Amino acid sequence: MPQDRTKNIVNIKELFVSFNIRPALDNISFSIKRGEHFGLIGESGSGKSLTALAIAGLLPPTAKMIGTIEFNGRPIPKNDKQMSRIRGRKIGMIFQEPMSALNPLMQVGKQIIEALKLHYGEEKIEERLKKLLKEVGLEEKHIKRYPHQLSGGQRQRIMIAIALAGEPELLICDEPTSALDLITQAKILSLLNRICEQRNMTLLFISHDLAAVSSLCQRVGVLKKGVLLEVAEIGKIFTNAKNKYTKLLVKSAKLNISPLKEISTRNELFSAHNIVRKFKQGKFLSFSKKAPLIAVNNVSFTIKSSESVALVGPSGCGKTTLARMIVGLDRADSGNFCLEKNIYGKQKKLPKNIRRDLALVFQDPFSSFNPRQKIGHSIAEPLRLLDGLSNIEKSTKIIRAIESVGLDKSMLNRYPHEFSGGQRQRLAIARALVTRPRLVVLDEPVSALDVSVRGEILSLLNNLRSEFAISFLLISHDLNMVYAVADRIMVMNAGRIVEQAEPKKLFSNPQHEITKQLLAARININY
Amino acid sequence: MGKLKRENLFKTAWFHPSFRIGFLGSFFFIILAIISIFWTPYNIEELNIANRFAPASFNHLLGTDFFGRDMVSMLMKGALTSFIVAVLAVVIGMIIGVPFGLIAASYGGIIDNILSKTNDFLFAFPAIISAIIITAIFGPGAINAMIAIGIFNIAVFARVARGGALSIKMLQFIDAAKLSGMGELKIAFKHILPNIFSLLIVQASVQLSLGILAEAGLSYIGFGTQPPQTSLGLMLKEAQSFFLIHPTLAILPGLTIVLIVIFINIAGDGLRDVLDPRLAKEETLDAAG
Repeated sequence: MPQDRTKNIVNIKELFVSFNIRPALDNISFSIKRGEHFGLIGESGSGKSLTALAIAGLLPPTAKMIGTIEFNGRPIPKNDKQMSRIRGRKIGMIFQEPMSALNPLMQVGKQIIEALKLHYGEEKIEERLKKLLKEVGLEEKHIKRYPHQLSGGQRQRIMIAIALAGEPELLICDEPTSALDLITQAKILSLLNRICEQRNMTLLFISHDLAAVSSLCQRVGVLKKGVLLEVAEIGKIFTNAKNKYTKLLVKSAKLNISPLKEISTRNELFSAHNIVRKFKQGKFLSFSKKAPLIAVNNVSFTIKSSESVALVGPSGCGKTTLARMIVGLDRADSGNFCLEKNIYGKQKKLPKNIRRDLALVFQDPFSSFNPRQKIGHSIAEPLRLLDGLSNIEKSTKIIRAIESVGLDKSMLNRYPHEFSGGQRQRLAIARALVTRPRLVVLDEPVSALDVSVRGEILSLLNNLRSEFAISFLLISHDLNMVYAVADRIMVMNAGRIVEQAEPKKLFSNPQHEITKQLLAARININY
Repeated sequence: MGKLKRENLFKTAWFHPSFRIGFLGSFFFIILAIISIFWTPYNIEELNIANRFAPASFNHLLGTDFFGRDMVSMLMKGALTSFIVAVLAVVIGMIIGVPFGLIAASYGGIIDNILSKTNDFLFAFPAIISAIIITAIFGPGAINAMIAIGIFNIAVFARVARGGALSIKMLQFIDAAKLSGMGELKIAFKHILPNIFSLLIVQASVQLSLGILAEAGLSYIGFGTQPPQTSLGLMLKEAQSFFLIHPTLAILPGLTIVLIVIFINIAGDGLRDVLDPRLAKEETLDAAG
């Protein structure tokens, strides 16, 4: 490249984007230097994806754009034909969900070849394909596979190969790892880093995860509600953030959680004995006889009263299946659970006296409330499990539940869409607590939330535990998060519990291979 | 999350131009039909052969037919019959079909299989053919026509309700309700039904216009409404022999059928536009951004 290395590859000046008169991006100006790794960070709805689409000239037709975007010193062409020449050749893009970006009916190798042909014609195509595959860390056997036969990480590698086919100068990654589990995320991040270094390529990395951005980028822009609050070197963001919101992001990325008060009384509350759950594969009357999938394989463990136990494992290890069996949404094929001398596990419907001592908090706060029912009614529903309550007793219980999660009782008359994600998760916890259960199972309680509210929810959990003497079973794939709130961590892999220890012990001296991998995948913030 | 937002359906739809046009148009005919219950310009059961085939005049705004009956009165009564048959057929379809669909979706397994396969079997016959068979067996008449159309509607609503319920069933609030000890049926009616209601309303508008067409078809071939009652299809049939000499007698009821069906369809399209989450592109982008 003849251009000067210090020259800016992207220059955005006073960019406004709006839908119908509703502004989506409000006066954005920043530039990306050639060869730099630039991060854009913001919560959902902050306009970070829109900024990327604007640079690639891919804004939807309903969007109105004012302002200039220069690429390589020249404004990006309005003409779609000229723009499509720049895309691919000069700008490569990777999206969040590789499954929907790949053609499901075409072998992945052919899809890479298609991209290569656009740029080089037929010349030396096999050779280029092999070189690309090697660069993104895939083997030749993967060429003949279809997207659904690959794992999420492998699909994302294919997407990277397609984006690299045109040897772009700028690679835009829009949340490339947020659909992946932590181990895969770490691998993809280091792959991106290596490729960009080797090719001397500029990277625009978009994410809601400050930790991921900090491990990859040199400079960061912080977006909130369409406004660019701050652009700074990554080190300065951590040590010397100017903006209040940025400070909040930094604080929550480090997960400062209020410490737990000492809790005594440790008699055994819950135990699982040799739990097995198999799923039949293949449909009714089908001729293929596949072996059943063993989701949970001979699992036994105990939980003491007021203890917080974390169940950690990579995606697909059976942790959610186990959680559903514990609360009675699924049946065990063999083995049983024991909650304070009540034994259950195989019956279809749990009796009331067991059910009221168990509660589940769901992962996605957006679909865990009936959108057409007032919050008060949703929270009151579990009270059906307690017999003989008068209306006054019921309403005092509901009010106590909502106040214990730090919300106001006047909110009971509102509908779910009037609440933010963090508030909804508080409400979900309130619903779980309303019957005063002994054991609450939390299935990834914070992973669907914006980073800035995760710390709050985890602190709330700690407070509730010391206040009400509840046991928690916390399911997660994130060791960092679990470290702060668990007394004991169980690591699960391929349906079995492979290791359990106190957090400190587990972090300093992991025994099993999968634990080591999970620990290595954590992104440590070193500022 | 546009789909899950709670909104006042009618208020939102009112701002959609095609819903407004369709709604006002069909409302006009509905009002005419309702008025005809209490009052029509002339009594249509009184024949006045001396005044047959009268042209449009101040006394008879649209003229008279071959029995000397006032055309305005005839159209009003005819529209009333058409609406009653179509609306009741939709009601039959919803009252029986929706619970079937909900039960199939909630219980799944063999119950779902039996109900869905029965439904597919019903679908295998073209609607109008099965309606002809039913009216041929039980005798012609407005009530039997209504039942025949209603039976076809049952299958339609059962299918729509089952599909909608299956997608709602995936959501976590259904699991939450199960955890609080609610039975499948209670969940189906308390949690699933309110969330698929807008879907059913749109389907009802489609079935309403189909019902009006089916009633007209049945009456035209003589299996529907019988004289001295009248319906738009029956008017068409009676006017057929005079078509070359007095074409207005056929054109007027035909035009009325076309207008009613078009207005209902436009209103239904508008409703669907408002409800279809795929059309809310802006919001999806917003969520991704």
